[in-house]
Parts: sequence; C-alpha cells; structure tokens
Amino acid sequence: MTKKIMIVDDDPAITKYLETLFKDNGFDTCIADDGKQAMDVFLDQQPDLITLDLEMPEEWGPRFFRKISKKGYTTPVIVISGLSGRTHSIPKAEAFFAKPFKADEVLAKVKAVLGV
Amino acid sequence: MTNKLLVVDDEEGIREVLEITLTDAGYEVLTAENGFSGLDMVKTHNPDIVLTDIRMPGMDGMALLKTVKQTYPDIEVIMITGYGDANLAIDSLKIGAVDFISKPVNQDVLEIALKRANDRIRTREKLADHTRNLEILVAEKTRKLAESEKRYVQLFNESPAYITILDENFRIVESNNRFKDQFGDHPDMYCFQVQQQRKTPCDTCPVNETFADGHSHTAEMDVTLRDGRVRRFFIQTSAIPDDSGRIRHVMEMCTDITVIHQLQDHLAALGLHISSISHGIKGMLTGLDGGDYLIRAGLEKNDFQRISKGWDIIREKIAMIRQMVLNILYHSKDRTPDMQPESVFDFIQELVTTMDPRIRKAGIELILDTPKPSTDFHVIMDKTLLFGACLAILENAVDACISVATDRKKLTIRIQVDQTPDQVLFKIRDNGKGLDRQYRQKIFSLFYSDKGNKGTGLGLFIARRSVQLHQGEIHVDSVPGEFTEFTIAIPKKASDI
Repeated sequence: MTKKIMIVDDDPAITKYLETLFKDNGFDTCIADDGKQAMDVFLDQQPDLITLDLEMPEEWGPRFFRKISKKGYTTPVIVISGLSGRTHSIPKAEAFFAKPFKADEVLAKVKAVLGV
Repeated sequence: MTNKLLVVDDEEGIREVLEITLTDAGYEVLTAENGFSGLDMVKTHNPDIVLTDIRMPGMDGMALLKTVKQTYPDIEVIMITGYGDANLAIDSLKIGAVDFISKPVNQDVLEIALKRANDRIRTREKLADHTRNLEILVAEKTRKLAESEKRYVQLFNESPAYITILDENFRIVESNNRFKDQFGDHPDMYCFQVQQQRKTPCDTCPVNETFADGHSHTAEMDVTLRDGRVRRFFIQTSAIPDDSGRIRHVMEMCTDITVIHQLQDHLAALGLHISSISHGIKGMLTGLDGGDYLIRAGLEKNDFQRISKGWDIIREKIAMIRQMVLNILYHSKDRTPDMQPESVFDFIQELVTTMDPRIRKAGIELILDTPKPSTDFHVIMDKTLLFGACLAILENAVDACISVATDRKKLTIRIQVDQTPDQVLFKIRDNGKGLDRQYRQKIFSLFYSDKGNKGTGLGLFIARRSVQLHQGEIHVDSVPGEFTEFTIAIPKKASDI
C-alpha cells in the first residue's frame, strides 16, 4: 500500500518541492500551510509520516506535535526547519534536517522510517 | 646663665656684699633698699631673679613677693630670712618663692638657691619653647588636614559618578554635587523617591542587600532625572560601618551607562537582524533547491508544467532575495526619512483598514477623532516609518484590551489627531490593562515586552526610532487598570526636518 506523507510548511515553494520529491519516489502526499490547519489535514488524511516545519504563523510545529501526541498518535515526524539551533524542540522526532536540506538525505530518511 | 638679678634689702651692708658676690658670679646686679623701690626696679628692669629680705620697713619681702608673682609670674623670687622667720619662709614658698636662704648668707646655700631658680627658669623656657613648637605643629597639621579635607570633598563632588550616602531608611544623608545637579538637593530625600519616583523602596535594591550582608552589590536601573529624562544607571554599593562595626550607612555610586546600553541595544538589534536574515536566507535557498529540482525533473520527463512551476519558484525567490537585500541596506544605514506631504485622512484610513479586522474580532469599539475629508490637512512625513510606528502602538492597544476583555463591559480604542502651531499630535488611547511607571520607563527599550512569549520587544523600540527619525517625540501616559495613551508628536513644517 502506498505510504502517505504529510508536509507541513508555510512556504508554498517548499511544500511544492517536497510534494514533487515524494510523489516522484512513489509516495502519496498531503499538505498543510500552518500548524493550525495541520490538525484538520492530519485527522482527515491519517498520514504515515509527517515532515514538519517549526516556525509557522498561527501555531508553531512543536505545539501541533504535542497535540497529536496527546491524542495518542505515534506518527513518525521528521523536522525540516531553518531554526538549526532548535533540534531539541521535538525530542521524539525521527530526524532533524536544517534548511537548505539535501533532497536525497531527506528521502533516504523517509524511506528508512517508513521501511520501504 | 640668667643675666639680671635684683637684690632688695634694707641693710646696705648686705646689699653691697651680695652685689659684689653676685656680680663676681656673672650676674648683672641691681639693688633696692625696700619693697617699694624693689617693685619699681622690677617694673623698669624686668629682672630674672629677685633676691629679697623678708623683713623690711614699708613694703616687706612677703608683700613684694606677692605683687611680683601676681604681675610677673615668670620672675623667680628667693627670700632672705632672719632668725625666727621659719614660718614666714614656708609661707613664702606657698606663695611662689623658689627658695629661701637665711642670714647670714652662706655662699653655698646662695648658689644652691640660685641654681634652683635658674633651673626653674630654664624649665619654663623649655616648656614655653615646646609649647610654641607644639602650636606650630598643630597649626601645620590643621592646615594640612583642612587641605586634605577640602581635597576629599572636591574629589567627592567632582567624581564622574553620582554618589550618595544612604541610611537604613534609604534617606540620602549626603550626596555629591553631580547628584545634586541632576536630582536636586532637598533635606530628607529618599533615593527611591528622587530616582524612581516611588513612594516605597524598590523591590530589588543593592543598598538593601549591602545593609543585609555588608558586601558590595551591583544593579542596573533606569532612573528619572529632575528634568524628566530617563537614563540607565549602573549602581555599585559599599558598606560604611561605624566604630562598632555596625553598618549605619551605605554608599551608592551610580554611573550613567545610557550610551553603553544604547550600544548594547544596537548590537542586539544587529544580532537579531543577522539571525532573522540568516533564517530567511535558509528558507529561500530551500525554495531555490525546490525550483531547481522541479526544473531538472521537468527536463528529464519533458514535463513543461513542472519546468514552469520550478521557474516560478525560482523567480519568486529571486524577488524575495532582492527585497531582503534592499531591506538590509534600508536598516543598516542611518537613512534620511523619505519625507513627503501625506493626507492625514488617507493615513488614518489606511491604518484603520489594516487594523480593523483585528479590532473588530476582539470586540473593541474604535473611536476616531481625526480629520474628515472636509477638514483634512497634509503632514510632511515618511509614511512607511510613521505607519509602522502607529501600527505597533495599535497592536499594543488591541493586546492591552484583549488582556482585560473579561473584566470590561466596553473595550475602546480612540485615535485622535491634534494640531499645535508647531506639531501634529497622533494620540492612540485604549482602556486596556494600563502600564505602571516602571513599565512605562522601559517600554521603548529593545526586547522589553510585557506580553510574555507573545511580544518581541521590537515594536515600540522601532516605533520610537521611526518617530525620532522625524525629529519627533513619543510619550506614553497611563494609569494601571484604566488606560494607556501614546502620543506621537512630529514637527509640522518641512523645514524642521
């Protein structure tokens, strides 16, 4: 079954980039532009993995992560952020990639986490 | 050896013998035959020693002794006694005679008596010398002490710091001239009154800490000078114990570090700017990577749509980089404001349009006391800068209202534009939580925010900078729990800029 990756980032250029990258590699994707919208998309789409930006308008990434954790979800999260000093913001994250990231490294991690 | 000696005796034979003997012994000898003429000789010749018979007709030796000792206490008197004068001789010693010799005069006894008189004279002279030296010494020391005290007072007064001596109630018991110049010189001033305009001592006070543990403490505080200017002070304290070791006073030395603090602000702003730029660049680079990926993938797959999308992203990011570079240049220089005549009506309309959604959402009533199209006038301003300043104040006003939304029946923000002959005043008043004096003093400082994580501490700092670039002033007035009113005053004429 095709794995679904949820991309959370407020920069449309980056969501388009990741969306294309993942789709080209055989994944389904869904997109949220900010932390608040992310919850609706998450509940609706039930993704297998999340790539999460930290700094976004309305609600920042770690808060969204805490919310889904409280609801009992253990969906793996890969943080992709420009805040390179904030690797500790989501201690349970599978990986932290600082922007600008290397596409093959992100892809390799995604595949490893999803076991494909 | 004493030079001058007066012999007083009514017996001429004795006078002659003594005159010869004493002249031989090296004295300048004067003689008198009774007490009265003896006293005259004393007055006119001022002898060092008087040798007088006790019993004489007229004024006797005892009377002469009394008079001489009363009038010339430094003259030594030796009494010559006859048989049976023992009691008188003893009385004469009580009155002040140095010695007595009995008739017939024995040469050795006379020498002993004279030696005793001379010893006493020398001792007195030495004592007088010593006293004179001591007086000179004391005068010299007193002069040096006075000079030294004057010097220390001068150092205290002219020290490039504000120095006060405080008692346990924080009352200023002494202060140097620099302090008096800037804070006034009234009796019974308290440091928290004159420096902080408080009625009670400050919550954290280095003076209090020094009274408690005797150690020197430091603090940084914003203080208000007599003319209303707020300066940043670095405060150092030291204990002044009394003789018993108890700390009765503490010295407070304040250094004006406003300039250093402003420099710190600038450096912090620069750091923040660089951090913000760096973060922005990372995002743009990632976007460029995304555009590059889409174009490459599009070329491989002959997917024109992908190439087009990728190229759009690259163009968008290039535009962002251009804007960022312009912004950096804009902020990194002391730029001259772009002053243009602007319609106040349009300015306020734009401001209201921008803020209206937030104000409406928060349930706040917006009251406008601003020019209408019929009463509109133009003001010379850099619209971007002034707009940003007003926006920052309005954002604060909305936050202040929201924070008391549950307690207030009606939340209002009032925008008012007034004119004086020289200035245009933009006033923004809210009936939100208000600010106490301490916050009002700090509110324009960089990174100072009373909104916890919600505030950046940047808005009002930049607002003040923008107003200052107009050669204008920004003030805040507030009563905690009632209102806050910001006033931006900018010069009216273009020539004032």
